[in-house]
Amino acid sequence: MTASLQIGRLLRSTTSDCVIGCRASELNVPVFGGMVRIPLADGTQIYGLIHNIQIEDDGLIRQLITSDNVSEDVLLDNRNNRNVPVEIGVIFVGYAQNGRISHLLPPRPPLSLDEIFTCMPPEVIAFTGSGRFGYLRHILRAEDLPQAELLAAHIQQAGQMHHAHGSPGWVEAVTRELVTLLRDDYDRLMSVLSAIGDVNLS
Amino acid sequence: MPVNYLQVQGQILDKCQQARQNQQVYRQRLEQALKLLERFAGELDTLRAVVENARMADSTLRCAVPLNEELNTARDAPVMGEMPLLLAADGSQVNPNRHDAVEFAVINTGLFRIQPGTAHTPREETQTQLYLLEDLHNPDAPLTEEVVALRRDLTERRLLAERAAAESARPLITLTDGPLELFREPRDNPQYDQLLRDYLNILQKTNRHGVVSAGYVDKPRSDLVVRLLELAGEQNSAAQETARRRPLAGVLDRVIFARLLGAGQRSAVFAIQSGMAERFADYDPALQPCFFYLNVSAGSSEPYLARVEIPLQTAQNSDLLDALHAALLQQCRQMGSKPYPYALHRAHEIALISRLEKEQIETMIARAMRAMGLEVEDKSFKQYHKENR
Amino acid sequence: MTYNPENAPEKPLGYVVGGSLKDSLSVRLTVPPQEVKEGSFVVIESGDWRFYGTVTDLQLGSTNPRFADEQSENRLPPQVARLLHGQTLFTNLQVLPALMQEVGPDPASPEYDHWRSQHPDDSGLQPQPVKTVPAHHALVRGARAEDVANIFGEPSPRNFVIGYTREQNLPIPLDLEKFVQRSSGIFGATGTGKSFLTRLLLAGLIEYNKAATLVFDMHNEYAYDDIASDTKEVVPGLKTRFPGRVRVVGLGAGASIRGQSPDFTLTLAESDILPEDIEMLTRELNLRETTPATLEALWQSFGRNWFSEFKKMRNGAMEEDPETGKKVPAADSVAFWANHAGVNVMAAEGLHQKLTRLFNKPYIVPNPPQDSLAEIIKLLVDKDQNKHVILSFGDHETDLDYLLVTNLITRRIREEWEKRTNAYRSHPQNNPEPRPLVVVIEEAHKLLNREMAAQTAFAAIAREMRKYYVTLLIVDQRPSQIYDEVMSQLGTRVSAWLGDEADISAVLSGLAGRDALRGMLARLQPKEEALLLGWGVSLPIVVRSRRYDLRFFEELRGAQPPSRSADDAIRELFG
Repeated sequence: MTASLQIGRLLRSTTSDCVIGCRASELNVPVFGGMVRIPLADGTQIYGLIHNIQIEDDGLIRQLITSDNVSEDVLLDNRNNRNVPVEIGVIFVGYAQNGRISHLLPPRPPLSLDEIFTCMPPEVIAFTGSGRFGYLRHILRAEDLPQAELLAAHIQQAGQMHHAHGSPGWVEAVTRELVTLLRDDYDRLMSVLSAIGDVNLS
Repeated sequence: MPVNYLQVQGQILDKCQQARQNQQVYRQRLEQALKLLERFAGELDTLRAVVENARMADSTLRCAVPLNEELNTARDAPVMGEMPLLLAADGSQVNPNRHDAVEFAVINTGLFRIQPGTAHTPREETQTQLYLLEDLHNPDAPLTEEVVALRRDLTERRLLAERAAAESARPLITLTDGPLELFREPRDNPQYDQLLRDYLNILQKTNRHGVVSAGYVDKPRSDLVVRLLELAGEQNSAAQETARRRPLAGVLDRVIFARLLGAGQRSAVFAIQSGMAERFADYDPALQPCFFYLNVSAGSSEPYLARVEIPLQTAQNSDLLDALHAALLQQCRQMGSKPYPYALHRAHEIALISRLEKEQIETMIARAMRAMGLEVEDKSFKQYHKENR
Repeated sequence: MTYNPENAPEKPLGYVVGGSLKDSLSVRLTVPPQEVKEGSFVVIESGDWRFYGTVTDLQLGSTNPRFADEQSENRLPPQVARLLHGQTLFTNLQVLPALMQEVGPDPASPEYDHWRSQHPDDSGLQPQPVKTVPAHHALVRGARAEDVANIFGEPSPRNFVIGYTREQNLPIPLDLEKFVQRSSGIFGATGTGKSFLTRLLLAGLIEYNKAATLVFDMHNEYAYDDIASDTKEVVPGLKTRFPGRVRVVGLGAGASIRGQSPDFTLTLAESDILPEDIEMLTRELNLRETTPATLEALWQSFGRNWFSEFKKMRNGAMEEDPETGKKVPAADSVAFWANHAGVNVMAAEGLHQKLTRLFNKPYIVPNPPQDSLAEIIKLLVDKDQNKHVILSFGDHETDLDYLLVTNLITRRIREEWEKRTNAYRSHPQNNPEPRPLVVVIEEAHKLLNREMAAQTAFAAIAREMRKYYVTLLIVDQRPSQIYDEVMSQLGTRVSAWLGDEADISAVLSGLAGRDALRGMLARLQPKEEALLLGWGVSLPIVVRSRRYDLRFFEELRGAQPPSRSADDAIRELFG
């Protein structure tokens, strides 16, 4: 991954999250927990984390299931050609305006068909390294998300980038912050920490 | 206001009553048709003579003509080592609508290339033709919905021919949805003859490349064979009289062949006797439209019939016929419980213009027109309110 | 690691999270609990004020009990568990604040000039008892040498170093001037080093020499060199170390103390013994309730000679009446006197019988060769002689000896100092100020229990003799048996380990923060540790007591401030 990749376009959004449509054949790029950026027309960059990747079915897929066996060419066709609706859920964690990173929610949501790009390591490092992990509260507020897994995936990815770019203490700092934020909620904290415990940075 | 269900309910009951009374007549006719088929199964010469006579008497005659297989033929699916390459095409169109802000038409043609049974990803292609401004308002050749439909059929055919020409693999089958014959006949339109010539020209070229052109008709309502049987059974009556009286009216070919054909079996191949078929044959005898029925259902399920139209040249080549037979069954199997050729479905899917896409095109046009200083009207208020429901 | 005050980074121990003046302060510990111990002297920096206090307890806590209950280190990788525990599991210190002091803003800060203008001199900036609490999150640090010096004073002959802080090994002095102004006590269970502490203090007092000391040495421990029972080291005797200043007095003629001859011996004249001296022995001698009446009659009959006269009477002696020929009490019999004096014969005979134990005491003689009691008082009174007296009981180690002699002497001392003080107060120009005297009483509970206290001179001394320049130094292992009115009068209390709950309560009686201090006292090391507290100590503090050995005397003589030697360091590292 050397350049920021477009992974899809916006289907719908609110001030706190959005859903991106993407082609099934492009699905090898976005990953769960991955950080994405949505450039707005005014230059604002909205940052988000992928919290859900949903492969929808359609009539044809449902019909193909009834076949005794799906032949290879049909499989490849559906994987590579067909617009199998893939929906990627993104939770907003902050934005950048005039080069200044904020962990607040963006002033306005992106618009339909806006392009979404993966974030490059310098962007991830700049965003997650700025401030005092304020963006974590957006994740912790969304109780219907698989928070523990999302945090673990995010920490794994961002942690590797920080590690490779000379700030190995980042994982410890973010873990400490999570403990601070969640220490009154034993169950949630333990599930988050167990997930973080499975993070492998090597 | 919602539908007046009370009124509808009354009407439904009336119609069903009627149908139940007709049921008995229908059963008798069906039995009659089956008897006739058995009776004339082998008398191909007789049948051809009957049709020839009838044609003399009635130039608008429309029916099946046996080629060289007995009427009750049921051919099992051939066993193929490898499947032929398939090119399927389908088109969709946006018809001009005077209520829109900008009047325009679009023909979108989807092409789907699949090599069944291999690990190659099938290829998709679309060609989009826009008709705008001058295209629409030529007083000599108005772009009516009929013309758009015709042009769509032509475009499908042309795209298939072009892509087929680039393929070296044989057998090669090109597939479209619907009959090979062109039914739309806007005879007043001076473009028609030209378009038909183009169409036949393309078919001929395809034929000469040894490429199969096949039209797949799903759930066919045709009664070409039944009409043949009527003629055969009423040899003593005048053909015109028989055509008017229709002694087997209501019986469809597919019902008869459903009784004859097991899963995967095809019927005998017939030629079509019709005015349009004659024009095809006049242009090139090898283009004479032919057809057969195919039971595409799998194994134990109820028979499900499709009609497949092909030019005479293919009908006379048993290898190509087998390849087509096998390829269609293989394609239908992909769709599991509701057999239909996968490639055709995909071509249709590719070609389909969604409302969103239509709006996008509309926006592109309006933007371009404004950029060039052209006036763009508003859409009609009627259209506005329709869309705004 | 040993604490090194020179280059230790100034790392706070924690910060204030709550508490009250009544219940002491809660401090969240930010260093491993091993770095702080109960009894530590800590400083709380709160804005312009500085608070001084003592760690009285350490408590394990958790933000949610489940963090403490469940061994999450088994579920989580070590580094994650460490982060979790760092924030959810903690230790709270309980700090008993004792003093506060206005220190003002940083001299480098802009506010300093304004503040200084309002506080032109440092008066009013002395440490004072706490009247308020520090702010939330005020940082708490271990006391530095200058804090110790600020609160306890720089070591000097007056500021006698009695021990060192547990963590930083900073010297903790006792202000001897203050120490002798009120009665004080040294407590500790047997074997906790109580008598070493006493020796230390006595050595300090003798060296400083502002007050005379009179030691009632019941077990002959203080005068001459001894061998410690546990270490087998030589324990220097006070007489040995201060030959010029200490006079050893043996009880009874020809007394020998640990094989040595005392400077002189003490014999009591029979006429020194007053009826109240006997009354005080009621329990010891198992006297009847008729005794006071009998004694009163004796005093009526014989005055000061009552003891000699009574002793001479023959108990039960009978003779034949020449007239009637009946057996009647002999003229020199107890019964004869009783009949004449109008007291119950049986009571008189019973008393005589019980006093036989006293009649036989060799140190009570009709006419002692010299008034050795007066000699003792003379030594103690005379400022110029700078003498201190150790009264060794020699072979007379019974409670009876101890009670009788100490009481008798103390009564005399009390009379003498009252007289001198009154004279000084009425005519200061003609009469010298009396020399302060510290009376050291071992096994004090024998004299100061609830029953005896009213009858002996000690309770009175403890209560009011401060103004007559006499105070007590009580040494005891059972403080709970001492009359609580006496206990509550004690200014300075030095306590080694005590096991008994009642004894602990007794030592803390009348002090603020008793509950907080209770645990500290119970958890002292059984040896060589002591808690200093009370009026004479600025704030309660636990010290490792200074060792009473030959090197102690070298330091004392060298007049150099005691400091940690290489030996100390080695002992700490490997000891």
